[in-house]
Amino acid sequence: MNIPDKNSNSDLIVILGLCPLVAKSTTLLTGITMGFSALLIILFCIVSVSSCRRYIPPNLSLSIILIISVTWVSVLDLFLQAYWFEMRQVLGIYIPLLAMNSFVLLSLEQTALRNSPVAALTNSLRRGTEIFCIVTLVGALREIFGQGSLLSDAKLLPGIDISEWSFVDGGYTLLLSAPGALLGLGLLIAAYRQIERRRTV
Amino acid sequence: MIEKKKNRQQSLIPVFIIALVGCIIIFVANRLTSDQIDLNKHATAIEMIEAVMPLTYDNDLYNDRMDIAELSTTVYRARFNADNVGLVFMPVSTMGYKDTIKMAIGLSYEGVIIGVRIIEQHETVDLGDNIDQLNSDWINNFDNRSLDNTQDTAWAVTNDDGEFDQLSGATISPRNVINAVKNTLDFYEVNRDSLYN
Repeated sequence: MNIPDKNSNSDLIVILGLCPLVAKSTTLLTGITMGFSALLIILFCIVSVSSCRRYIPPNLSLSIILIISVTWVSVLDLFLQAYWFEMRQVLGIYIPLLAMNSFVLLSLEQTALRNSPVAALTNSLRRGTEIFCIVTLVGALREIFGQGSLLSDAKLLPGIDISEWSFVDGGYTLLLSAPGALLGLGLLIAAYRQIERRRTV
Repeated sequence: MIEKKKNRQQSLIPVFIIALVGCIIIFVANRLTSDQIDLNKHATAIEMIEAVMPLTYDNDLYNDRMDIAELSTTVYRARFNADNVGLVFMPVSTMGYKDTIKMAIGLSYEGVIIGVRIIEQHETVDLGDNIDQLNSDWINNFDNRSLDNTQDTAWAVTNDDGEFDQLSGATISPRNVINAVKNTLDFYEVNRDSLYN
């Protein structure tokens, strides 16, 4: 397994890749959908790229990676439009944007191009799940503190009737706007680093 | 030199093959989903049209439509026993504070507003987004207004000496919505007969 060298700025790329994912995740449900879409795209792309990695000339790897990720994102977008139209309307442009997500491209270039499908899959499954959890968490936090409820958009779920949990009326509406996503993400990272530091000391 | 050129050509083959496979996958996915997507779009459009067309009609409103290039919108004509009842302009777009606002406007044949609904807006939360029917009932201010009962100068927010509340803190969004509705009414008055043919 290839481990990226310590000096690489892959942490930064992961955080940059997270930004478009959390932008529209204003509720728990949108967070789950966005995170799960990203996870699906990562898995499909990883398997496709690493199974044809032997035929990919190094100087053209980026173009091929882009073609593959665009293909799977288009398929996902079409199926979302067909079977979950309301959610697709909410997420809008951020689903097609997954194709150019720097995190997706990074994991394809660093793992999929150099490992067998199984090895690449196990490696990126962990990171993909982490991404999924972070996006879901940001969505839930923004919904709780931004509008004082949870699952408020459960009506978007086809066929399932869950009533929302409402705690208080209103909240910090700043969290519901796009900058709120970045604030939430930043606070999460700060909290994570604090825990890490406690653990190492 | 020739060797080099040949190499480059060979290395392009995988790109073409992968692109071709990608095209096929997207083509199949499109075939599988396109009917359902059309149905979804149809259902969403119908829901919005019915929200701004409370009058009785007996024609297939969704398919009785005409594109208007001048306003880059579509009109859906409502008729009852071949009489013209009214029509719906959808989508009517205008610039909001930082992004486009899209709405549907329903007019009776006489040119009276019978309903305005926001289809899409990205205005500031708690300020400009109160133009949306989901957040406040400001949009209902338009109901029953027409060019006859509301003067030219009254089509403005109260700050500009008009008759519409300006939603404190957010003057731009309501102002643009009012202008867009007014423009639609003006257009309707001039072109009314051609719109129903």
